[in-house]
Amino acid sequence: MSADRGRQEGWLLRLWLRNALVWAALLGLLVLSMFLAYIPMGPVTVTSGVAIAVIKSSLVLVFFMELIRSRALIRIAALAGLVFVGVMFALTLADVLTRSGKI
Amino acid sequence: MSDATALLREPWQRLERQRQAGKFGIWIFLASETLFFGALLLTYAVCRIEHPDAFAAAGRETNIWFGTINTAILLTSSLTMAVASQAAAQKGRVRQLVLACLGATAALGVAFMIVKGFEYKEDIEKHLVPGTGFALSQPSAQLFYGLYWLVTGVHAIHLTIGIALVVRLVLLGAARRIRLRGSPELEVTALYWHLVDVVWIFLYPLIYLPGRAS
Amino acid sequence: MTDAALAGELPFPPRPDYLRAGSTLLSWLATTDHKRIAILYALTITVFFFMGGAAITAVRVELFVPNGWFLTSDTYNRLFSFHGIIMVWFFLVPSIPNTFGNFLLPLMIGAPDVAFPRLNLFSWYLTLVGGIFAVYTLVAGGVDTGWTFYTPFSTMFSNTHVLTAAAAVFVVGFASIATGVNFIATTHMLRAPGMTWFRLPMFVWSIYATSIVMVLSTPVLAISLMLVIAERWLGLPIFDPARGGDPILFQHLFWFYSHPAVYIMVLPAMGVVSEIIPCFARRRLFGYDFMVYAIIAIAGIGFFVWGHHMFVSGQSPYASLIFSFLSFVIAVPSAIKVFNWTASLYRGQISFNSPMIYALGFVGLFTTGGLSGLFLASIPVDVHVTDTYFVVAHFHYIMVGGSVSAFFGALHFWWPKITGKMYPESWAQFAAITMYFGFNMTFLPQFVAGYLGMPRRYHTYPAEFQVYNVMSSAGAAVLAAAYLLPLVYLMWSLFHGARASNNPWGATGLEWTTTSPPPPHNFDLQPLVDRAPYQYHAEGESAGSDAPEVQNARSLR
Repeated sequence: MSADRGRQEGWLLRLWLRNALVWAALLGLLVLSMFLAYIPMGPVTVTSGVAIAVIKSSLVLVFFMELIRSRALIRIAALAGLVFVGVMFALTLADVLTRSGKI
Repeated sequence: MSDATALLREPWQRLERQRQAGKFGIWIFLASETLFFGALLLTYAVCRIEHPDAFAAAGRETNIWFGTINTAILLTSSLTMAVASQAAAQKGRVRQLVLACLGATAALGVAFMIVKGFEYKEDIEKHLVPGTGFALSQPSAQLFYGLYWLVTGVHAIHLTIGIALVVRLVLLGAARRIRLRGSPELEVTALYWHLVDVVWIFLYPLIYLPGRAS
Repeated sequence: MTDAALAGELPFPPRPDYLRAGSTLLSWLATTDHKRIAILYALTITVFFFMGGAAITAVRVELFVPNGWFLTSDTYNRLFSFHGIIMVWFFLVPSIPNTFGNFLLPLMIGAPDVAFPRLNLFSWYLTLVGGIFAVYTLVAGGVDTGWTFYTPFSTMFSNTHVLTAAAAVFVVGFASIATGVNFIATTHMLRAPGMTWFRLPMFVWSIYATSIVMVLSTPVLAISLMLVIAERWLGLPIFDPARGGDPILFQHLFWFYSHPAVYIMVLPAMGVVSEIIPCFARRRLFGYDFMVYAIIAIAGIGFFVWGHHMFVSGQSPYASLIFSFLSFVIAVPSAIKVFNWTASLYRGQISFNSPMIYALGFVGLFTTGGLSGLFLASIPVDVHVTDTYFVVAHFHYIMVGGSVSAFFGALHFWWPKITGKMYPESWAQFAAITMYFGFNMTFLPQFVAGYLGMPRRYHTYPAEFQVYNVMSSAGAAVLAAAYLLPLVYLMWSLFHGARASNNPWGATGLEWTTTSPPPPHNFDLQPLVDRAPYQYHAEGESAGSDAPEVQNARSLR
């Protein structure tokens, strides 16, 4: 019985540790992106904010939403949304960015 | 009657298959949600590309502290939700832990809404609502705030649905009406909750960070 | 002795079919049986079809004469807008997927139901709520934006009921998404043992591809309408040019959905035709693998072409070039399908039953519509004919000539399975032929009128176009008769039709190996699939009179 409880506490600790690590990384990135926003770097400032958002959301997707342990089918479903958002952005911006005739 | 049959629904014959289908189904829905919020972000991107200065000026007027604290709250709620979902998938005695984590998740969600309420109040007092009497002089700054109210509003609706789903699980679980361990519903709710978090992760730099450096 | 007893199996105890498994109103309104939900959908969209049809009847009456003798301009605008909104979102989009898709998808893959039966019912109620918004819009005075809701007219200038109309489409969009999620999960998770991906009937593939398009495009429609609602109702400026908004962005969002929506309407029709043609030609479907690749390619590339609706909108010429090229590309898989249907007839034993007449009609009309689409993909021609009747004729050839013909083909093909009754075949053949000629009489003249410059959405026009409009209106009367006829003889067949056998057409799909109508859980014995579909004759031979090899190994061959 006690061995059983010990085993349970073992995985409980690992469970918390594993997720808390991701959480700490997320909060660190949040502080970093806030900090970077105040440094004048032109377009790099904007990019840094979005890039950090991409990293943070990837962490949530991979670890919290367990894509890392999911079957290929689930990963494809997740990817499908991203691919078609990409298509929507690419083709719309193909218009918006070249509308005045300048590329 | 075994535990597995208690969770089994039509038309499934095995719980494992039902669980896979539920998980796959919610992921398809999340892909759909990706396009939903993607279209909003595209609208934002196009407006910002066309009016970079007005967006910088407008972004500077948002309250970065409310935004940052709320982001931290949501990220923490994702942690408790992840622990709840992963613990429920374990074999051990996890009911108390899962219930506690779900309760914390719902509480953090409510905390987010309360902070958001204070922020909305401040925005209204600063006349950041588009229309006559708008605080900023550039007309295009109104585009930013039009999108601000819309996007945060849509996110708040999603979060409210999420809170309702989590509270439902807590109530049913506490009353032992459903078994939380191995519950496909818990897994599906958790995935939805994380997506609402991911949406906010993208909204944070787009709403609160423009124009800080100049 | 029955067949089952001869095969050494015990006869099953008598059990009610799905239609008789409960007769209270609640047993229908709270049902989770996909077959009953399909019937609920069928009744709903039939009502909407005739509502949209009534609106366009008034429009056609008005266009008989060039000077607007019957309707005011405002009424005219509201009527064609109502026609478009109802026909697109409340008839065409749900037509084949939500009725035949719902009914047949589980049957064809050998499943007892869809993956999420309660979600399925929820989706019907959402459609109903959306429909109530749409009908309210009409009763309250209508909307005059056209089905496209273009900004800034819809957001700043229209004085009609844009809010409720947009809300109607917004709500019904979520019904679409729910259905799509359900069908994708069903196809992945509930196939019978042995039903591998390349043994799926083409109809299942088409519904699967359609569902993917629904799930990934409809949310963007929801956003575009939500932005219109937000601007009109909450005063949040998004598209207001005075404040720097971009009205063309609305068109991007709207067509990101609405072009793929054309494929939502026509892919299921292609699936239907791919079932009917092999059956009545007694031939294997020519090039099954390529039919599958083509349908997936159409669904995918369909997302890349929306800008061809915007060549004259002020869109950048560079973007127009890209969209024009991609629009030509999508003709390739469509052409593959047309060639394969035609090749499936070669060395067949063709019988012209009513479903086959509809299917052959589909192939011809879809080809005409598709080829005129190539004109519109080409920028110089499109600039000439944009917003003329040429465009109207083009998309009606695809959506009415294509999808509606296939809908009626499906109705006649699966009517015996759905109701257990046979309809009078000669009446059905007569209706099918009338529909084909009525359709061409209505829409062929519109190509000419449009090419000569008659603009769409005007109720007065120069007298030189009257001859085309009179032809068109006369054709519409024939078409209306062809649509009303099946209503009469199919209703008649419900009460007086002969009993249908399990497999009246000698077709190969799993759905034909259960009883007509099927029992509540579809199959008395879990089907076991051991072969590909459409085995109407031995491989490498021409069509013979052999009994078809049905896909179900549990069934007597």
